[in-house]
Amino acid sequence: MDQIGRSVRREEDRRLTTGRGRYVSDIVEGNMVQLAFVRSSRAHARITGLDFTKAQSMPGVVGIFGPKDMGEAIKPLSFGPPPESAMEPTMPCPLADGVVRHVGEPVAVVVADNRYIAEAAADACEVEYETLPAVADVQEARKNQVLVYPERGTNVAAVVTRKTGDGEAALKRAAHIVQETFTIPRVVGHPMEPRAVVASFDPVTGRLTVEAATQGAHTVKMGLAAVLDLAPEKIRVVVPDVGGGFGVKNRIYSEDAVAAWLAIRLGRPVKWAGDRLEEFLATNQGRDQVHTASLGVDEEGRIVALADHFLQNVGAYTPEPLIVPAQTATCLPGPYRLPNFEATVEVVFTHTPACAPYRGAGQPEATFVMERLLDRAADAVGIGRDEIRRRNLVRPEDMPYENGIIGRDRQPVTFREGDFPGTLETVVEALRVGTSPDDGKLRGTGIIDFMEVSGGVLFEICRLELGRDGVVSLFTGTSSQGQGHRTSWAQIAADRLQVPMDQVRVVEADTDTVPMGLGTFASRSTITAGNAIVQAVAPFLDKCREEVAALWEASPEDVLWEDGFFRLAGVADRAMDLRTLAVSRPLDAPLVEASAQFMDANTSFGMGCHGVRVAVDPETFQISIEDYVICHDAGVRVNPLLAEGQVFGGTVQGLGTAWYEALRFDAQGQPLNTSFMDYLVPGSAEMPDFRLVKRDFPSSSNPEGLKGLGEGGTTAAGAAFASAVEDALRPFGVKITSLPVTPASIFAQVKGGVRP
Amino acid sequence: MTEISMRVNGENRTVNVEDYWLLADVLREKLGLTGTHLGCEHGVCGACSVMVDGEVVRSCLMLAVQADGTEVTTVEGLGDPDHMSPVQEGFMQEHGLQCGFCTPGLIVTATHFLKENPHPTRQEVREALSGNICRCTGYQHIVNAVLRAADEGEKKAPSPR
Repeated sequence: MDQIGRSVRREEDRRLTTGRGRYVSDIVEGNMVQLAFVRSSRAHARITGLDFTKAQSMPGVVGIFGPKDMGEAIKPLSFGPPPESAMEPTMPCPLADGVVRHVGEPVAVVVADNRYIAEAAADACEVEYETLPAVADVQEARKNQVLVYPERGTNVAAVVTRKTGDGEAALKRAAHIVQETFTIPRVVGHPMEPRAVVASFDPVTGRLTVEAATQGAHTVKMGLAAVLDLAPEKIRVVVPDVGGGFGVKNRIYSEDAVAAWLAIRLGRPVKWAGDRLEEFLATNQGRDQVHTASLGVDEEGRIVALADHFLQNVGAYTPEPLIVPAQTATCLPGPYRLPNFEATVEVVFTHTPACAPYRGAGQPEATFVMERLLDRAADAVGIGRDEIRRRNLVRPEDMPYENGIIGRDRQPVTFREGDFPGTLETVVEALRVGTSPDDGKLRGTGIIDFMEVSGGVLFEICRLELGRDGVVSLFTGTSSQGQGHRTSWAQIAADRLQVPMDQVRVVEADTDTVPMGLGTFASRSTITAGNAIVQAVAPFLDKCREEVAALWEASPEDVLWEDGFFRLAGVADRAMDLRTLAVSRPLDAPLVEASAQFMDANTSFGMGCHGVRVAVDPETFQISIEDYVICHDAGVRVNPLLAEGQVFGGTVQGLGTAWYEALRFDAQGQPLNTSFMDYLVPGSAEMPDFRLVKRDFPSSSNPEGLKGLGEGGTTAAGAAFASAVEDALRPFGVKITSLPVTPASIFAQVKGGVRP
Repeated sequence: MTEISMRVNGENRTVNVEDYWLLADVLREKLGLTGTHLGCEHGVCGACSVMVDGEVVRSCLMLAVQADGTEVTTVEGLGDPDHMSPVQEGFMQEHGLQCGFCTPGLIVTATHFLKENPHPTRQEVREALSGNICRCTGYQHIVNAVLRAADEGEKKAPSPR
């Protein structure tokens, strides 16, 4: 009964396509109240007064609370994981404690009968600010003229370095050195469901139950326990249907803490359902790096050295302190043979929302820089952009290839399997370049290579339990925001248990069901939960064998497990399946259950290549994508259809950053484009149909050969798109060094330039 | 408070609403039809799309009192888990949804579109859905889903794979 590798359709889709989903904002409980937050209108200010008088008297307002009301719960929220270098992380309090450090920071909270009343009352709350100087731009902040934390004396929160070989010094041995400054802007993750939380407190058990739109149920549980000073056992976090995450729903937020505190304080269920503006103002954002990078190559275009000094705008707080800048630094060398490398990143505070992991988490930035430099170097040497990659990619005969950098699993980055050059050739051959229509448009191609870093982040636990109805319940701490874990996990378990899929029930992200879990991020879930599921099967079947042996009054060693049946050795007609075992057991018998923990000690590296062909209108600089070929090594594909969905969706998010998205701030830290009318995201009419060419190499880093693939599309698309547009615009001599690439950004360069 | 009557998914419903309540919130909070989602509340993302008297509207931009006396169809009215409509079935079969949050609006929009254009091209589908933002799928599987529904599920949608 092979289940792995089948494109099984998702059972939840029957509910989700017919309006029967249960997202946090859909939850209604008796006597429930709703919240609206009073948010800072200043990027940096001291709060000198809060006056709720007018708001408090509005009909339907239950209460309004400021930081003084929350007492001991006003302390910095927890962050994680601890930074690798010397750094003192900073976190916001549930409500700002005297000073606000970005527009949108929660200052007070209104509790009301419904959200209309709560929002109207929030508008009527009066906040008195002493406005302080603010800085939003990372290069300005680096000058330390305006300090985010004056007591530190600097805006530099940390410095991270990576070095191999002779580092930057080796550049002088290169025949050609190309140097550029690259900018990757601030972008917003924008899951379609804004963040939301429902909290309720049961005075009988003294327990708090929190339903949260989160990627990490246990992370929220531990974070709430810390800020509310509660024993973790007193908190249950459950994750219902979640409308997208992409990294930004991965940690505890102020609103979670406030809602939980209010549920206890008021003894009533409390709901906060954020809106789109709050996603723009108060949810972790991504990217925002400025690089000054140099690539040195020899006469034939072989890489001699890469050096990069870059700034990471980390915002005002550090929910995941150094994840992104460290990952950028680690991933800069990409899938290339690179003898000398040096990267230094300064992580800089600004008066903007926290900049934290968002799909790709540092990899798209690194890939953009490296691939742009390779394009430049190819031009300098006078060889094709594909040829320079061919000459530098790690080859199968080099493997296992260690590039000398320590990765996020604290192990040297090692390519153990795959065929990067072969992948490149496949994409080069597949991309339609042929003849173009004579329509006056300029055409160009971009072909870039990338690697996808997946897993290598700690553990997950899987617990299997045999129900009285013969259904095996599977519990784990991962959390699906659309990835379809319920289906994939059931496929893996059913495959190894040799039962039909409907005999497996997946329960994810309920903190009462497994003692600990990390959650879903870093393209780790399939690897970490997948291996944990497989490893739980053997002890589970051992327990079952003991039960069968007891029923048969036989020795467990004589009970065999074959083709979904327990059989008694040497007795032909003795057989029992799991369902029969379940119903045969006495009602007072203890549960049959077993757990396994899988520690994902080694990161997996998937390989891939994107090839894209664009057409650019030379008058308007409107860009259209005419062909897009993707090769994305997925290792063992548990569910090929769902895997394809991750690749397509990830690539389109990458194209969003490449083509449309940038959140702009003015000099005072005011965000300027906080709606979908002026912050554009990709739409269906402009996105291409992707063509996939498949080359999969099972991972050698975990027993089941699994790899993550949620982030690689995002990682690759920006570099590929920029390369193609620049190639098309050769007649104008346009150089693309920043994203997004828009008609306006091209026009700005061409203005005054030579027209073909 | 104003009393309004609507025929919602084939049933007559009468509710008292504040004049400033949006149709989306009345559907979700007063009628319990939470399939209609709010993704942006400024009329761009399309997650809240419903049909009012046969036309697709953004229920986050329409006051409930404006819907008095109309016939409203939400995603719940197009099918249920045991009787999915061709568009709903298409989305499931082609993996046209991941997180599912934008899906109700897309299904309402696509259902209306296929009534007007039962045999569309890929690009026509893409244009028709351009007012609905999906952040997960990259749209390709959604286009496949709508084309599959156009074929009434009889033959598989053409895919560029």
